[in-house]
Amino acid sequence: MLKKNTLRVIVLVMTILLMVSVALVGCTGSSKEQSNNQSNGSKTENIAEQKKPVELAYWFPHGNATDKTALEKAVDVFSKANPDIKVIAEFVGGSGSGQGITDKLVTAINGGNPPDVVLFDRFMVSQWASTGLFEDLTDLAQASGIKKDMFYEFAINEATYKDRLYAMPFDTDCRVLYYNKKMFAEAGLDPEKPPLTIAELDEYAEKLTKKEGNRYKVLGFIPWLSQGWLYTWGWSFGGQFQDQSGKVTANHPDIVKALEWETTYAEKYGIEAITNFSSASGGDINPFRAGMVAMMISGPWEIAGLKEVKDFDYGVSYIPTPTGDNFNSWAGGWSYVIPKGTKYKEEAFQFAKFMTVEEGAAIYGNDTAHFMSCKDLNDTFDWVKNEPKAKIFIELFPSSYCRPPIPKGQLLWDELATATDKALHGKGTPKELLDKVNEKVNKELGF
Amino acid sequence: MLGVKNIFPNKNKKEVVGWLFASPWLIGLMAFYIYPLLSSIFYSFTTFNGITVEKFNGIQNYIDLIHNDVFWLSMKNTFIYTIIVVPASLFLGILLAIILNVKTEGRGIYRIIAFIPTLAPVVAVSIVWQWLLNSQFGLVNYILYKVGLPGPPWFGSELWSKPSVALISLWTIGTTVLIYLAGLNDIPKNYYEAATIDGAGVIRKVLHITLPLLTPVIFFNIIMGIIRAVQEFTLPFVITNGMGTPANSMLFYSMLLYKNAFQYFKMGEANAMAWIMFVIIMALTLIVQYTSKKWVHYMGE
Repeated sequence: MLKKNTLRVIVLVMTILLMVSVALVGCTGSSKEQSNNQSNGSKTENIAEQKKPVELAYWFPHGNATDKTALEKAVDVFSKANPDIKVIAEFVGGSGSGQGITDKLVTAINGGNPPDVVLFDRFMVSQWASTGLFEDLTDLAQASGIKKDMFYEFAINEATYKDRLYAMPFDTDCRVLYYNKKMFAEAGLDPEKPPLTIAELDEYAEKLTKKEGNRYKVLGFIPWLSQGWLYTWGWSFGGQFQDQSGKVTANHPDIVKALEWETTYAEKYGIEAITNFSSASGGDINPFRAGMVAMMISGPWEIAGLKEVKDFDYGVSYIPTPTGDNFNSWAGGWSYVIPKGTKYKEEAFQFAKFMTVEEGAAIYGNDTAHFMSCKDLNDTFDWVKNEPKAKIFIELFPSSYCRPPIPKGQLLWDELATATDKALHGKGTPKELLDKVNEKVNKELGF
Repeated sequence: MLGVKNIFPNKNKKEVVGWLFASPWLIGLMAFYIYPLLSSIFYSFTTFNGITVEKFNGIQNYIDLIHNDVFWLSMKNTFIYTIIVVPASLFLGILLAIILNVKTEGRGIYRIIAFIPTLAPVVAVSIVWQWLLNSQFGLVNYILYKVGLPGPPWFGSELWSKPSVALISLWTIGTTVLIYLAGLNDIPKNYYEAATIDGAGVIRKVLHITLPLLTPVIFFNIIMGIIRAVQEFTLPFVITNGMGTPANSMLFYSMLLYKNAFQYFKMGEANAMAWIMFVIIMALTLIVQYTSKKWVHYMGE
């Protein structure tokens, strides 16, 4: 009896499921028909009347007022110039570890209902493109006369995966050394002579440090603060993170040297005392701005923020290198991508082009004081002309690196950050830790 | 209707109608619980990257995890945190509940004060505490410094990072206290009256009446507390910006799971992690359940 009952329940459930699936199929079938009808209808309408504008869903994760306003202004200009395309700009809050819209976008693409164009962290493009999440833009770019040399080399490298273009590079930045001129003068250093070699940097850092009891009042320099990632120092020390074959070389002897040098700071000043300074990242406390560190590696965005501080006298200089020459930096930035599955690839590309090499890029760069990946634009911005500190960035862009554009970019980033953190806490030697990173990432890459 | 009659020849209409009425719920259960659950098991045996299943992988995901140091580290971190936070919330929860149960003027206000932190969104709580516990600029260490005590490095050190998270978690203990309060009010007054007549003091009453009769509620809160602690995600994720610093001491199990799924696109491995977690929670619950026979007392038994 019991068996019979269970059987009946199963039969019932199966019937219901079948009914539901039939209903669902029916739904999608009819909606497809409908949309077909609609497009047919609109085509016929086109001939008779005005064209119905194509609606592009555009997602961006930039929530702060300046960036948002500039993006929306550019969208307005685009919509006016292209009455047949209507861009619906939507702010979608970033989630994850500051990489912009990630989990929401994966879900949307998987669900078959993606936005048509997205402002996306360029660093992640290779990884996403390798998973098949983005449309290949190579042909469209060629057809509309986009050339590689319109952009800085690092930007186009980051937007390319296996020789195909998957993103249109938008804004960019690179890292430099910021130093507090007032503190330099107080410590008896020449405010116009920032450190150029690592040895000078160490010496200045010591001179600039002030202690009060067992608490530091001012730390001269913390290598890993703000933008002092292992990437910054690895390249500064002459290392390379990837070889010709595409294999990751995280344990390059010069990168190991860079990390060993970083650990000397952890030992000398005490890792916990320094972490107190550098762990303020979550809040909006900027230790350099607060006058708690005298030198810091950071990007161009600091300039706007430091303007708000009264009488803050600071300078920008190259990131010191062991030899005091061959200065370099590394660059990141955002880009426009077209998710797989959009209906309006061409229109979306037209908008992406407008935002990256045309008027949209000019508006954004000028209004937000960002550098753009499109080389020729940067010298035209008013803020660049009025800001002497902008020059060093433009000078450094051609010799800037991008993080290796590999399908496991995020993993390499996290592993390097973790290895640095461990080395600083004395959990293993830099060599061992970086060997492990190298082995792990290369294994994931299939080497 | 003919079809229904054929399937259920001996059934009365009432039962059929009953099933039909239950069907929206059944369909929901199938679509939103059973189907994801089963597909998650399936994906845990594949190299699913979030978009496509590249190949069937057998138990390779599980083997990879077992050989992965970071996996074990995240497991260790989560359990250390659980061991700190569950007993602490047990003790503090009962203590607060007993205090808030004392009949005084303005008892309602005290109860509200104890409950209010629970209403703040977890992300906001994390950010505020990140500021408060900042060892250099934070208010807590500033006060300690003024009093002349050495301020701990909180999130800056491996030793203190997990207790710091536990502290924040204890700050939002309101719901737990609420359940204890309900439990306290269930204890009949005449037990206390009898004890008073026998000359028992406050402490003896708590030890011999309150605690034994509160054990069913304690039992419930322990299980819920373990589940909550093992799944802790938001606090360490927001505080460390998803990095699990310092030295991976705040890389909790769910954080690693999230990273695998959405940052490394290793959805298959993430699914495997979810099932391992399920088994662990199940085992812990069964252990607590088994021991409960010895220490949980239900009234009337």
